[in-house]
Amino acid sequence: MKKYLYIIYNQCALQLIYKFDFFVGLLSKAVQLFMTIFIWRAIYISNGYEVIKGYTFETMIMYIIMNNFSSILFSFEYCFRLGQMIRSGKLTTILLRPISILGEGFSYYLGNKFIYIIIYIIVFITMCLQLKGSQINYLIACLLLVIINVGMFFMLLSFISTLGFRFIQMWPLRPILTAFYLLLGGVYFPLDLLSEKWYSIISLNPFSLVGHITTKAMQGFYNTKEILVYCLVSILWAEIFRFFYGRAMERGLKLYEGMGS
Amino acid sequence: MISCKNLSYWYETFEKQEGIRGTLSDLKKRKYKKVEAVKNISFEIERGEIVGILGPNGAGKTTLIKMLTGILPPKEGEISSMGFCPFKKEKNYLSSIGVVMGQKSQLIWDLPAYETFKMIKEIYNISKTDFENRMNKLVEMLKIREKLYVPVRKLSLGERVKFELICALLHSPRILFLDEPTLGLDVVSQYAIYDFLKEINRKEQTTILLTSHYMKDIENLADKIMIIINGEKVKESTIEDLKKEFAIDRSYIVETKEDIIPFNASVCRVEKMKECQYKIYILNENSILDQFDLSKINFIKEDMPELEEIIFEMFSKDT
Amino acid sequence: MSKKLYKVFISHSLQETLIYRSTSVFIVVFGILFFVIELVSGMVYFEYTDSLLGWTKYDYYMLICTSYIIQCGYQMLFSSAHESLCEKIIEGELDYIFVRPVNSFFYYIFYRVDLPSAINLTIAIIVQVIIMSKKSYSILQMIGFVLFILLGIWFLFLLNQIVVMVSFWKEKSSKLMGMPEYFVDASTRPKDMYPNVIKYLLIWIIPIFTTINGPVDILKNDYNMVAFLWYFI
Repeated sequence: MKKYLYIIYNQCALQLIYKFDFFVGLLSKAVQLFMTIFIWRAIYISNGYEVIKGYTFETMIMYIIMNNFSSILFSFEYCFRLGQMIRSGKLTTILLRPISILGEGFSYYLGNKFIYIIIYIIVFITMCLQLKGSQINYLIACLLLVIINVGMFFMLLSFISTLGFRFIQMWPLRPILTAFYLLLGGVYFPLDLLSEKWYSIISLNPFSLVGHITTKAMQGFYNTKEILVYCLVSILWAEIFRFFYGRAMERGLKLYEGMGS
Repeated sequence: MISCKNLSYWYETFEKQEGIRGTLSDLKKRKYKKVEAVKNISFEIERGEIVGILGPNGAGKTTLIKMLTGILPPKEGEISSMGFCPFKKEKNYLSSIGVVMGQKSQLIWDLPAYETFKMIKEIYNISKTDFENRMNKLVEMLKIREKLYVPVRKLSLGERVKFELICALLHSPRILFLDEPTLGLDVVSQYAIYDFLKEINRKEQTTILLTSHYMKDIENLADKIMIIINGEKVKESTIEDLKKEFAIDRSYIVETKEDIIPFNASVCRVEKMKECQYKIYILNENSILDQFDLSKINFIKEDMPELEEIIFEMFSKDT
Repeated sequence: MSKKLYKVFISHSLQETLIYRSTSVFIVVFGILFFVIELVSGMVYFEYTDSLLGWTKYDYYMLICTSYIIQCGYQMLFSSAHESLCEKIIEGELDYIFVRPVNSFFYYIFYRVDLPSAINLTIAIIVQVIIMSKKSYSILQMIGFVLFILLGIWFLFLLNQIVVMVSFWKEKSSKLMGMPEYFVDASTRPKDMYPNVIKYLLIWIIPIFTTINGPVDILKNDYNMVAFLWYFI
């Protein structure tokens, strides 16, 4: 266990060393956030709507801010790590060590996101302080959902990263995955603005669970029971990804030539 | 051909402080540190010479090569290479040098080496016939023709290095810079490359400057060696001179068939090394060993220190 | 840099594309998907309004299409060079470029052509032509439109170039590489929806609005000559 803590620590330290990257990363997120806010502002202004499908302008803005923040926590850089390691032959180093690839990867991911996780927790605690009695259960359910989502999302990333065995150039994936997240995670607009039919089809996709649904849960749109159902769906996804990840890894390692060595 | 006067170069790096607290304080302000890579080095190299630059890791060998090839500008001092100042990157200069950096590759990873050659042909404006002749010649010399159309990533390290050398020589450069060319190669590939380089040097009068921390490279190739430790030139001489300098007393090793000294030992000092093996120190330059019974001797050889021993002694003394 | 050398580069690009056929197909398919996603979000926005501060659904689609053409054009010609240069700077692999007797600048910008992007570019152009065929434009407008698209590609190159240079000095700043992408993303929306400060910034400081919005503004006959002049400079 200690070795994994070390990996988390090292990654966290690296984030701080490359502070320039860190701030640029934040700035770029801000650009995206404002873009979405402005387009919604334009829509509310152009049409003089007070409420669009249950969203007032304020709840809409809150939704967009929170969802954008989640998208920092749930981002895709990790997908490309395996591919890079395969190409450079560094995967060999990890394969030779008495360490689980998944565990090492998860520690790396957590370490990378450590600062955001702390901010996330702070936001959570502030929300807790404002609530009383029965609502505490609701918040705990929310927290549970977030934790499960982190695990589920990591499994998704791990599964996607195994594509690195087949595709040498993974970078074109980045904007594509981001686009998926933007649309299916409901970053540009809350997914329930789509027609009922479309919403029922895509509302339970993994991106929606980590983005749209978690955000709405934190805004208090659901009840505790509903959140627990979403937790179950998330676990189901995680299991599916874990299954496919295992298969893909098995086949991938057979393909792996230990290049660059 | 190449003349350097008082060359110096330094880098600025920062040190990461230990622990979380250190990391956080780095976030505010980093401590920068000046690292001197090359300190006040001067030397001359003649046309057709093979010069070896020896030094332990981090001694400044690569920095020196980078200055000579024009990648880095010297912070102090002057370089004149064939009358050019390398950092000005004049086309005529760049066209007359070839470079191999053992740790980096100029071959296009996913395509066969032949494709890189084609690119080099256009870069150096080599005519079609010259290109074909030259490439065929080099490929034959290194016995690597059958690998010409195999993607680089499928080649062994030895094969890749051979192709790297061809890349650097296709345009018939007058100076060849080799930075750690045999890094990680097996003995057979190493010797093939030594022979090849010697032949290129002999036939084309190519000046070769190679760095290595690997003694055999230098011993097999170089006419002259230059030893750099911690950025400073500590020695420049021929290998023979260096060996002589480090041979303290003139001595010979004699191995006999039986365990008796097969000559009159009065004019020398004899030290028994092990059974049937003696080390003889000549006491006087004019003394002659007489009554040598050759039938009782297996071999006799002059005891010169190996270059490796000398270098080891120098390196360990300075570091 | 000779034409012959560029030919060799294109030939190498083609060979590499063919070696990684599956990756290339992947880029094309998902590139199209990305484009479609943009169009879909446009559809959602216009479910709730007919005009977005003066921009109709039609104008909006045209903007998305134009921005996609500019981005594909940039990607086709320059992106792999920028990608690999950044990698090379970070890994310290630039040395060989500097010892070549050719202009190092041209050598690396033209080093590779991204052919899958060329396919996406073609698709985007076809869609654009279909959209444009629904209205009629003067020849002058058409020339201006094409000219601005070409300029836009060049501008994206310059913008990315600056970013690459900064990454050169700042050692490892991979995230900075994403910056131009975000700016471009921001400007794929009608500029009128942004507050004046941002509009001012992205027209007069980094004229990315003029780059991406410009061509459509010409077709809409709603352009700011001074901003265009500044952009040229």
